[in-house]
Amino acid sequence: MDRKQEAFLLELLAEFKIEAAEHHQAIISGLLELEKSPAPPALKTLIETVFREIHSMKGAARAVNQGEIERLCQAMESVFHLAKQGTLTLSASMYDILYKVVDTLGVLLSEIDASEKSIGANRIVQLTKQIEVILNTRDLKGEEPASNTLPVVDAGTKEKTAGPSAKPIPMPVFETPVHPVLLGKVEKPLSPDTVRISTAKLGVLLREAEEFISAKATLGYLINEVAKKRDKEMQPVVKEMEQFHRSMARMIDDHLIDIKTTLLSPFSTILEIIPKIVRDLEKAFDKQVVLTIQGEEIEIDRRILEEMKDPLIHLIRNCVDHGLETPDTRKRAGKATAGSLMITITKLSGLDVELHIRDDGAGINRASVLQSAIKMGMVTSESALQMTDQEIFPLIFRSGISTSSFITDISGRGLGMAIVAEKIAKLGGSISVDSSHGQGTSFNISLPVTLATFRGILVRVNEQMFIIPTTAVEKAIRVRKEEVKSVETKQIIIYNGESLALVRVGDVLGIPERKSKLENMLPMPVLILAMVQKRIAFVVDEVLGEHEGMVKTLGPQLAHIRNISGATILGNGRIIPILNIPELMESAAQVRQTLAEAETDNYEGTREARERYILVAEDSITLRALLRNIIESAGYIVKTAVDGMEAFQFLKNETFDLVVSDVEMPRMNGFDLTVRIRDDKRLSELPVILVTALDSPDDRQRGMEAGANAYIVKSSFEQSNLLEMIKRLL
Amino acid sequence: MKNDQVILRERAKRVAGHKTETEKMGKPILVVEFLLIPEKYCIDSSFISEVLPVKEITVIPGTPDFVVGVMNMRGKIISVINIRDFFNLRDKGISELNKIIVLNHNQIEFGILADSITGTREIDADKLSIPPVTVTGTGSGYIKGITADGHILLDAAAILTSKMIIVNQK
Repeated sequence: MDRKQEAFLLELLAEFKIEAAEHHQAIISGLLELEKSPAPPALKTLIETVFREIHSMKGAARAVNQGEIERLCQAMESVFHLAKQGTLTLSASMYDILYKVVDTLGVLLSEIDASEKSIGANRIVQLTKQIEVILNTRDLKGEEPASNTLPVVDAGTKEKTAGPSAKPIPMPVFETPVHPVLLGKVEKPLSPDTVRISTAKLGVLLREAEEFISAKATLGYLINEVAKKRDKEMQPVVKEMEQFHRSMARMIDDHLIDIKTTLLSPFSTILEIIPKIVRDLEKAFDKQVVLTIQGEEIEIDRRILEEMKDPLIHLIRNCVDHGLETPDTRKRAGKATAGSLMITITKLSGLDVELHIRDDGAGINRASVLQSAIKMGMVTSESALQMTDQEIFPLIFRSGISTSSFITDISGRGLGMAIVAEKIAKLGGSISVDSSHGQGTSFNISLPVTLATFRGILVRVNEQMFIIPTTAVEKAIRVRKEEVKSVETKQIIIYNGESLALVRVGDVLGIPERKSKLENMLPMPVLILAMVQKRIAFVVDEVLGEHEGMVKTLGPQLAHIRNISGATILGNGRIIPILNIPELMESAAQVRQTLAEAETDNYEGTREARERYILVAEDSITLRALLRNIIESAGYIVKTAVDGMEAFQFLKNETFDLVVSDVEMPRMNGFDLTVRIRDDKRLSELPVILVTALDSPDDRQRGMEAGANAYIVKSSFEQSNLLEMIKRLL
Repeated sequence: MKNDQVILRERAKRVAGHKTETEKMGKPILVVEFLLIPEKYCIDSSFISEVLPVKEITVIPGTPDFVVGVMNMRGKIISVINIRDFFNLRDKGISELNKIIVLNHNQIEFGILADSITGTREIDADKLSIPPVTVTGTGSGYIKGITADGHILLDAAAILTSKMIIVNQK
């Protein structure tokens, strides 16, 4: 193996140790719980969980050539596979053996780096033999082995002939295909003249270099002060100082860029996790994916990489969930059963990098994007007819637009894409999408190689100054008094055909308004700020210009101040607070709401919520109370039923706007309830959200077939998810 | 007229006498004394990193009353608080508030306002009297006692580790 590969393997191994330790712990806790012999539904989930943990650990071990760990996992996996099918019941003696295996795994993990191992190949063989006994005991009981029983015995014999360092055991039938992790293709630049420096030290250098930005500004300010004196004798000196200031500014900027380039990391540092994620998604959605990654050696600011991790995962989930079709559908469309997912990174000229994510799936569903956009009021049905693909597809980056009518936990809530786009914009990059029906979708993301210095718009509110991050400012405009309209208690302006709430920054921050008569006559300076959720027009007293500087914290005592994210220092040494835009917008909404509530009871939003009736069907008392609380807190009226049968009775006799139902319930389960609702003439259009402990593609499929509108898994249950889904379905 | 010998002897006596007095002290601590009208305070110097004149203070909207604002300490931002407000003591008299004592302990750092610094000295931690009724209330948990000459000894460690002093509006 050449040195580059070796270095990469070492890095992978370090990752593996962390990951494997987590799986190991989860397996142990799972076994401990299982041994308490819980009730059947919980038992099923537990077995599933342990099975997955073992499976993941096995896959990870294989990727880093940890044959012994892989073999033990494989053996355990076969036990849990049968337990999952119900053809094997775990007994006390079996737990003893399983614990032995788990203990051995622990020792193997702790000794990955050790030159001398305390566990010999014999021990591994011995343990796998013992597990075979477990499996054989089952056979003696006279049960038929399942059709896809693992070739464990086969693996064992093979191992004996090939020795302990044998190549990976043949893949079991239910295994997902191994991804081309591209072990050999990754190039990590490591030349002899490279030195290793801790990132912490580089971070210090970067901060120091950034401090020069303030020094630059201070010098500029001082020169200005001297120049203002208009002293004839000083004039030549001022000229010289100005010249020096310019060249110093250049030196500082160059220096900063050079320091930033030392902080670059290859994309591979975040792409390493992708194969595992794709593997999990394949399982979750019953799809087959061939993943190709190119250009992971290209380097970019590690802070950008860290920020890009979540958006990247989201995009990949989207491609697998929405983009790629199931093997059956693909076959019918004349495509290869396994879909292709390509991630390509290329370096563009200058200081830009392009990240390209492409799938060969069904493409974005034009119609459903349009339908969603019309529903959200972003486009009218008339204008929709004339829109081109280039106009329609970017709509997916707007909040609330989803291409999937069936809402799952992973995607389809329509918020994700908007957040992805916002994150990328924040980093100074951009994203575009292209898609063609039946051919696939591709996302093009361009990113700067280094993180730009913070820039903000300096504004004055009464006597105080604040900075608003430039990335949040869509436009700075002037608004005349007569352009402001009052709708109930709110003030709005019309901007580009859209009505935007107009709010004084001072009102949000609690700074009183003090204006001279003259100022009151002049048009108001207004900044239109945009975040994922909404756009608000903010009134300030004066826009003073743009400022470049360093973001600092307010010190340890002021851990978090609402509406303020930090501060920056001006050339004259003055500290200017930086406004936290997401919080400011949230606060702005509250300011308006309290006004609205105080002055009129007839606030449209609350009235609307008050009129909605929601039926909750759930057999667990705790969950029933929890669901009721959550939904009522959002202003809906809730009625509860203890099972599907009761729920259906209520539905027959009363009118509801939406049903939230558990799946597993006595008498009538959630699937059957959904089917009954769909079959009923009067109820057939009623939105149904299934909340369940089950998370498998089969159940999801069953839910969809039964006619549910959304499916939410308890394990990843979040209050906001549920409310958001309800809001969207009503 | 005293000759040099006598002067030296007397000086030696004074110095020696001072030393024996120090030895008698249970726990001598070096404190910085300051005025925060109308009270005289002192604080253990080992928690003080420096004393600065008040320069421009930027008010941060939305902070509690005891937070005066933030100031620029050689490019670093530190918050400044008024301990009288933190102790919920009503304002009395006219304060000048032109000094900032920077306190520092385990990552926590902030400045407290003072009208003036009156000096430093060693005091005996064992010879403190209990605080009078006037300084009970919120402040009582942050006061170690009263020195013989009426300075209120602040419990710097208690102030710096107080959860009440950290502003977190998350």
